[in-house]
Amino acid sequence: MNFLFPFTLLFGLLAPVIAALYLHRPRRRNIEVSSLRFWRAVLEHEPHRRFLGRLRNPLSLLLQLLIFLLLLLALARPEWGRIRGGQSTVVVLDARARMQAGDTFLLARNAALQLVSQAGPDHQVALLAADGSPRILSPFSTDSRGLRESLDTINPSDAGGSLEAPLALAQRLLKGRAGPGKIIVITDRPMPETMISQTVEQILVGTARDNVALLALAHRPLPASPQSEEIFAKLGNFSREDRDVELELAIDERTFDLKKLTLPAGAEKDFSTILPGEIWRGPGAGRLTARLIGDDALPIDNIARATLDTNRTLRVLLLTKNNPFLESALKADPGLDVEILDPAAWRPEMKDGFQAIVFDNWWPEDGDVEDFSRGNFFFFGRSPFEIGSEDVAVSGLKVADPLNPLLWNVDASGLNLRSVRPLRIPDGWRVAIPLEDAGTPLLMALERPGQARIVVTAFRVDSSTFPLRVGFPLFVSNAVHWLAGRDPGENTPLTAGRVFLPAEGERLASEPWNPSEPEDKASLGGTPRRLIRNGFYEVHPAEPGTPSRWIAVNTADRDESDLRQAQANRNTLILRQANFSLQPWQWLALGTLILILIEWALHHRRITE
Amino acid sequence: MTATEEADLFTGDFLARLERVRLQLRRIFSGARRAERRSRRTGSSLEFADHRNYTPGDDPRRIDWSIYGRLERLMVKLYEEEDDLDVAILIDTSASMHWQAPGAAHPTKFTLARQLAAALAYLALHNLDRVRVGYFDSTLRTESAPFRGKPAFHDVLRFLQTVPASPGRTDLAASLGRFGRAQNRRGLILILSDGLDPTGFERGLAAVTGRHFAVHFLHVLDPAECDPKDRGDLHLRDCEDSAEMAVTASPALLTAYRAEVQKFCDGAKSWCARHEAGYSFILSDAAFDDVVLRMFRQDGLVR
Repeated sequence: MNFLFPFTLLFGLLAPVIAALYLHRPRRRNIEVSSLRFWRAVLEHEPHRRFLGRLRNPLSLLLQLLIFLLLLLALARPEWGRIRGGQSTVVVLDARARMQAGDTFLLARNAALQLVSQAGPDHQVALLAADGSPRILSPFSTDSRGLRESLDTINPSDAGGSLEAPLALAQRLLKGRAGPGKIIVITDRPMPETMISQTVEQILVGTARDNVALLALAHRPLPASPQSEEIFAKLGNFSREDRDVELELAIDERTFDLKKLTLPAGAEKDFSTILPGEIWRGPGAGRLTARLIGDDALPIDNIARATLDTNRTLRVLLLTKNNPFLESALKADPGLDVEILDPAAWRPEMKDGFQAIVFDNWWPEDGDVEDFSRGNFFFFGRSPFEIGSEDVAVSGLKVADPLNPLLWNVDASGLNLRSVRPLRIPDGWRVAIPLEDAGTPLLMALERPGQARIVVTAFRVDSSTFPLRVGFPLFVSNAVHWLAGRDPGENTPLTAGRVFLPAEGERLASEPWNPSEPEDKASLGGTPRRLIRNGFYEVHPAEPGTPSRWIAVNTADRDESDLRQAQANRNTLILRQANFSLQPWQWLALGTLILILIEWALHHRRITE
Repeated sequence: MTATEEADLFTGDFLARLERVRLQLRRIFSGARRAERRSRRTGSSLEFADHRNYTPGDDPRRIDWSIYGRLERLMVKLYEEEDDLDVAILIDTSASMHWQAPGAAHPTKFTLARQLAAALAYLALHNLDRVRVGYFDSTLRTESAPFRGKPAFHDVLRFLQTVPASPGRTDLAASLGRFGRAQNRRGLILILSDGLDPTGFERGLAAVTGRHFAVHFLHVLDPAECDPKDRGDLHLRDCEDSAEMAVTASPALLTAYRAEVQKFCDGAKSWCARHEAGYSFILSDAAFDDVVLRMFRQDGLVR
């Protein structure tokens, strides 16, 4: 026999207290009698009655101790024999965004309720929620009521994802358990055949529905007019017929564009528009919203969100004699406040006033590398890290790290570099090499965390075809933003279900911003958190007085929006099996109740006192 | 006994029924006056007793001539003398006789004892016996003058209404011994008591049976004394000596208690039988008529 809460048996140490209370007899009734001779005679003739009398009444004491014992045993939740040999079932409840369509999740929860109601002494049930990643709602339990209460707490999230991880977790939960085990997945569409096995069953509760969705929303500065933003949206029509939709675009809840579009059946369509700078730059928060007007089966994918950095600019110092390419590239980024000086005007103390300093094929050669160990510097061409004084030809440029932040949206392949000056890799720095030539760095990103960042190129601006490329201003912008400690992709919307990691000192709102209650202050936290609700999340900066930034979270999952595959199977309606078997603790509680009634009846009849 | 109680108990019908019964004696005593009770002496009643030889001076009218005809001897007839009887009714007035269980509807032992005393006195007076009534507890508290004749019944009642104040402890030996020593004539003693003498009832009864009195012990107990209803943890206090005792009245203990009471009553009965004394066991909730007219007859106190 096993006990779920064996520590409660420690209360058995209180049993002597009950006996002591019997012996204590704090209140006696005063009775006047005609004579004590008979009482004395009884106790003299039968002295054992004195001892029994001190126990008030052995039957009463026995009943009380028995009641106490049964109560302790019931609280300890004994499980005898069956816990290791009984059936084990893991119910995986699909709680992904698609389950919000119509009454799908309601049907799924009802099916789960019927399943967990079969839990009993010989049938333990565990509950998992699958909303992109597995979540244990309840470990294995025989308590159907507790399982039902766990189900009441779950609602479908806005996240997509796969059922592989929940199934893997369910398999791990079943592993090592004695007795037959089974996994029942409640979802809206058939799982891939590879996921089905003898131990995995599926209950389908979905209904095929038509749906139109916003699959993506992005933006970038307009190359021809960096003050303005180019907005990109992708729409999908997951219906069996063409759909006419209206797409509304708004910035900070102010509509600035409304388009009527026709989406062919089953097709996806890209859409772009221009957001002029005079509309969005200013005191606003930069919350960009795209909305498909009208109702459909899944409302949550009718809205997509993105954020624009409206009011933060980086102060950049460009030390150049005359480089129009570099000047133009820097000025093309509206987020940069560029100041241009002649190299002769350079003073080391200037670095304190700028987030990034760009040296154009020049550097103060009277200095040392350690002079640049604090601050953010961009050496284009000449640098303290060059080797020798002669340029060399490039034999074969290779993009070694295309995902490096410096190459964000930049296609560096096929770049023609006329000559470069070889670079050495310094000690004591964290080094990333996005571009290289036969193992020799052509582009280096150096970092001493918390102290300095340096970008070094082995080539000059005018010795390559790079300035002629579209990606050049993006590369310069990426480099400057990386130097200033800003991730070029920080304004990219997150997909629901991803984990957001606040920077040091930042605090993330616990709930999405609510347009109807803009002043509502959600609680804040500085720990990484998985965001499963769509919306704008406010991120409070570490430094007081600095404006908050915003994180946009969208479902943006084609699989979640495509509801045409949903279907139900005949197992949807699970008949509730009559289950009148009581658990051991319930039997004990029943026994306790009966004993209490007996004790009460005896006491009432004054058989015991 | 109040006048109301007296009127309720001694109705004309009841008194008429009383007159049909007589006190019955187990032994014969010599009286001082002629009455309706047989005496040890031979006398002039109609009850034949014996023959004896004629001696000069005998009344020639008592010569049995039929014997002279058969035996030619002069024999005179002897007749029984009918004398009066000294009847003493002694009532225990100790505190235990006044005890009663809370809420009881029946009279106290003392009340019933006085009612029985009145009835017995009436029987004795009706037989022209001499009746004295006394109260006792730790000693003989008061004793009435002898009453004789039915008209004295009202004097008996008046005496019974004068209850001694401040009842004390029971001491049968002291009180009955004092009574016995003070008596010149032997007679019948009716003792109405619960017998709850801490030293035992035996010495007290022996004090009168040893002096050749005819004794009848009317043992009066309260039902709650025989079968107590209080259960649980009790703090008992003796109403006579205020002694205290803590007991837990469990069903088993109460069973033992009842057995003890029964043993006490059986002991009293057997003691009386061994010492040629009468014994009547009376519960204070018994019907008065039933006690007097049925129970006393069964116990041989009346016939």
